Amino acid sequence: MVDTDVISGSLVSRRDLSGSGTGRRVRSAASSLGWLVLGIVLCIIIWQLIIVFTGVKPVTLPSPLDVTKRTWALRAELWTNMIVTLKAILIGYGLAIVVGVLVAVAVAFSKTVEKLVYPLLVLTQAVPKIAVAPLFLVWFGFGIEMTSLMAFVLCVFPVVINTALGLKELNPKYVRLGSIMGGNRMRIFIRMRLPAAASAMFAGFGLAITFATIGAVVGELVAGTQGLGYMANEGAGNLDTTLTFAAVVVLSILGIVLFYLVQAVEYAVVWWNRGR
Amino acid sequence: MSATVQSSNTRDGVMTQSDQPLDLAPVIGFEHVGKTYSTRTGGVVALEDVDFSVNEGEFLTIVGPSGCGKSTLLSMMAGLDSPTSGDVKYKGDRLHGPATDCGMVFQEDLLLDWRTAINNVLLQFDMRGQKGKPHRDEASALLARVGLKGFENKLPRELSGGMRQRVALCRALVHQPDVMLLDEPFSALDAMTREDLNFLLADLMASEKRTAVLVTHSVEEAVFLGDRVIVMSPRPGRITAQITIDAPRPRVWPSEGGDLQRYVRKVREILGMEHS
Repeated sequence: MVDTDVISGSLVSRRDLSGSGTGRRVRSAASSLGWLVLGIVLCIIIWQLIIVFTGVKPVTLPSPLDVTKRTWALRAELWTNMIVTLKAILIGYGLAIVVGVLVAVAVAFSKTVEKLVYPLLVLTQAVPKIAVAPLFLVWFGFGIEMTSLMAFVLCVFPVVINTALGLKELNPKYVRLGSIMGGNRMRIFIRMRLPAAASAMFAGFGLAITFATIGAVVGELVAGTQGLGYMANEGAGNLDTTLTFAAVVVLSILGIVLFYLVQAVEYAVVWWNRGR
Repeated sequence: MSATVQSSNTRDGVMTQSDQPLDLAPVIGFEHVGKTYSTRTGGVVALEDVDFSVNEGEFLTIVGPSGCGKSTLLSMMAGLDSPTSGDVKYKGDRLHGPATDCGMVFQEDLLLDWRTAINNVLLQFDMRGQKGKPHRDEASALLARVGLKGFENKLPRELSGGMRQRVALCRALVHQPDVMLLDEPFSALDAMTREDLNFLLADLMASEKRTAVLVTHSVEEAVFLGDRVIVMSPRPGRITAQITIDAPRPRVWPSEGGDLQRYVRKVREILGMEHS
């Protein structure tokens, strides 16, 4: 590989000598971030061009500059509302991981549980979960219980499916190897099955954080008194489109940050897959 | 040397060679073992009336075409599979459950990606619920013995196929097993690596007088490694011949000349592989 960048080039070769390939990985992450920024900049340019060439009214589509100004002016209010939304996301997501992993372990270990739970899970997938939001409003009222439960309902499925698949993925020969070494079910699970499933589990966790964000926002749209979803709804209700855009911008940043945080945790936990 | 096993011998003549030295107690005994698998179209006889024993300190090899049930035989020795008729005895007792005093090597190395070479070896103790730390020096010495000095802290993905299988060998040896069970351990490797590892294995087993059973479809391998070769017929798997390889160690590879060529020809003849 020919390197144009001297600094990163020396980093790559030094890391490669140690055999880990981490340098290359860091560089590719940096370059993918670069492409993301480029994509966002392009979108903003197109956005501005649409306004210039179609003459659409600011109440319908405010300009990027207006949105930026408004976001900055409302920064304190956006921040407190962002914290509210973040709380709902994290409660729902945390619950989904705990419940989802436990269910997946039961599914992976017992054929009976699998036969009982799997069709139910698939069936609940067919239900448009957003449609239960009004029902949750009736049951749990306005507040964080309702919004975090919406987040939970939307994101628990990918956690269960990916974890169950990952846990069942282990080559059965490992179980034979483990048992001839005197390993019981528990030790084979902890030392072989669970680490082998880690990659698949994180694929599910990554999907889930995105779904949790959608769930929390939908909850706030329907039953919020606070939060970014509530703010976006308020803006649209008062024909204050700029406010809606400001809320959406913060929401997008929140979503991206959360997604990359999950990736960072995966990078730390499933360290042995880094070079792949 | 060993004029008794001439190629002019009849098949029956070879069979009379099967009697083992009687002063050694068998470690493993197969008594009229049969195995039938039930399928939709009825029972398939995989093994029929298999009767032999493995003696202390002996290197026994089992050779036969694919589908002769030789791997099933090994699984039964390991206690991972049970016969449908007859008995498998381990030191005189019937086997119940995995034979944890054995060490087993499979065709795949089955290393754990997240453990370094030495920690993969120490898995042998972890699986037994013992601490691996006190055995670090033994594991390290064993790795050095198979030519992996300096590779102790490498991850599997940093090792070649041959190196990985060497680690698997160490993992099966580190707890000083009563019997080494090897299920086509080198058949996934390239020819050169394979030959290297055969010499290493012969040396390892001979130097410690360790009891070993190896299953293979390579006649050269079976003859080169074995003190005794069991030849099996295809489905239903039966023992067609047992040949004592009366050649001193260290041996030269059969195709390089020497005594072993004669045995190879004999076994090939029994298997119906001679093309004139």
